[in-house]
Amino acid sequence: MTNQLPAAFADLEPFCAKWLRPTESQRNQVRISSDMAELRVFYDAVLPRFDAVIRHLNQFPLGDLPPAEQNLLNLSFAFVEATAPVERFNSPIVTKTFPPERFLIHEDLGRSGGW
Amino acid sequence: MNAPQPPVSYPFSPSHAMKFGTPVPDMGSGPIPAESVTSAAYFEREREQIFKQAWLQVGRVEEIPNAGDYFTRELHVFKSNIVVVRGKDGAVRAFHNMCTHRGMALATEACGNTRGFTCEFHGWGFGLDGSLQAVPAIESFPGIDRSRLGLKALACDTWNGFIFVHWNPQPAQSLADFMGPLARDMDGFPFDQCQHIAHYTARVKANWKLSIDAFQEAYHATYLHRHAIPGAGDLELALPSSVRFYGPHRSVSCWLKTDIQPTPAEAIAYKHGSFGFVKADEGDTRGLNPSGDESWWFDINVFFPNFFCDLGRGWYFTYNFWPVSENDTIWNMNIYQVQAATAGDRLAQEFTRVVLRDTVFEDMSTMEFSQKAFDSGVITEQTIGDTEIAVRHQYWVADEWVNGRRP
Ligand code: FES
Ligand SMILES: [Fe+2]
Repeated sequence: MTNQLPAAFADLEPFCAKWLRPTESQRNQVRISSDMAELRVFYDAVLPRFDAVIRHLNQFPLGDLPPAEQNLLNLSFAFVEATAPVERFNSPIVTKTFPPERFLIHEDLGRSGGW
Repeated sequence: MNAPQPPVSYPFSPSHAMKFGTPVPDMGSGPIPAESVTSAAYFEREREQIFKQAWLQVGRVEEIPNAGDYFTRELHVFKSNIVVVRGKDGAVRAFHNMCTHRGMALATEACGNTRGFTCEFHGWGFGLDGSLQAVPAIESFPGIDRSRLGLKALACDTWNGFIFVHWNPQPAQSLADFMGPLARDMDGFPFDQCQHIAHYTARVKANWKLSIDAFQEAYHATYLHRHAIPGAGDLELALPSSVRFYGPHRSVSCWLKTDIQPTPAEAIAYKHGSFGFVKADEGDTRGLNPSGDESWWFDINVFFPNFFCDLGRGWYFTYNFWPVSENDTIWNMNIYQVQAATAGDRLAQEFTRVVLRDTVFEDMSTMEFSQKAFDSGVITEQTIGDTEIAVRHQYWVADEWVNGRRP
């Protein structure tokens, strides 16, 4: 299988199958359909690497990341999504919540506003 | 309007007081009857006396940058679908999306680009300015006056790129006059440098005003947000730092405990980037913190009746609350952030998106229960504390408008 991340972050490659998702709604879906054990494994793997990830990505122009770096950024967005259950809720979904299936996360960014 | 009272301040604790940046209207002090969130008859009066009398925000200019760009919006409160379109002259106009022949919708897509609107039913053609340009077999309409059959317009104007419409094509009050000094307080904010980063909607089985209440007081932050915002479990966080009233509109500044600790992951992101949601200690302050509060986090700006534009350092978000009926509301949220320069900035911003979204899940967890309680007739009134004064202001203003006494 070909590598999806920059070589220096090959240790995070095993998480791509589950966590590398291009959109907010997909990343949130992965988060809320995971159990806490899965979330903790991902969180524990990325947290010690997060500083190096950001320093690596900062070397590239944000609007024009090479594909492997874009993947690393998207995986980092999934990490941010996964920090919430681990650091805040001790639960994949928000503890006292509005039903997630009735909360629509749209991907029409830039168009905004429709309902 | 009753005589304004002199500004006062509430010394809640030795380190914190709630200030008023404007005179406080005399809004009474008793409990608020629940009838205005449960009564279908009251809602019908709101439709006529509030929503058809106020400027309403429906979009942003970036959505329609070029001539012929348009979007449509379903406005249940008007029992109408509207189309907002940029003309060849660059002006933004709004029309009821209804053919003047026999009422077919003209634009059937959510958005697009067109040279004009041709009705799918019998082919009447309208210009981007709404004028009726073509009627097939016009000779079969003897005496037809095309100038009277242009699209039905709404008034349309913009403020800082936000598009507003008014039911009355010739409203008595301009948008600028309607928005007044609250909009002027916000004018310096770099809206034009911001990027749209999130869009959420939900249909909530609750009255529109009750839905708004969940977002315009900070009293609940202490308890409801103790998970989404660790460190919120401190009463002082729940105190507004200042409150201002501007006719029907209101603004509440929230303060940030200076010792609130970022989570381990946030701390790493904030080393490399700015603009986090709970990171308010640096950056551009234009258009923010109008009362000059010492400890300040963000401003909740509520334009009556249904538009929020909350401003923080490097980010803002908006809510629209669109009533469908007295206990059915479509909630719409958009988040915007100053364009990130680096991946570090972008990842710090990602915490804004995720933390805000999770916080909103908590906010929205309560309102359907409250609606049920009031609909049941068991709970007949709302008991309002002084830190919830924005809630009292909303019911007072709505009631004044409904009864033809617009403050
Ligand atoms: S209804 Fe539009 S042309 Fe007849
Ligand atoms: Fe809240």
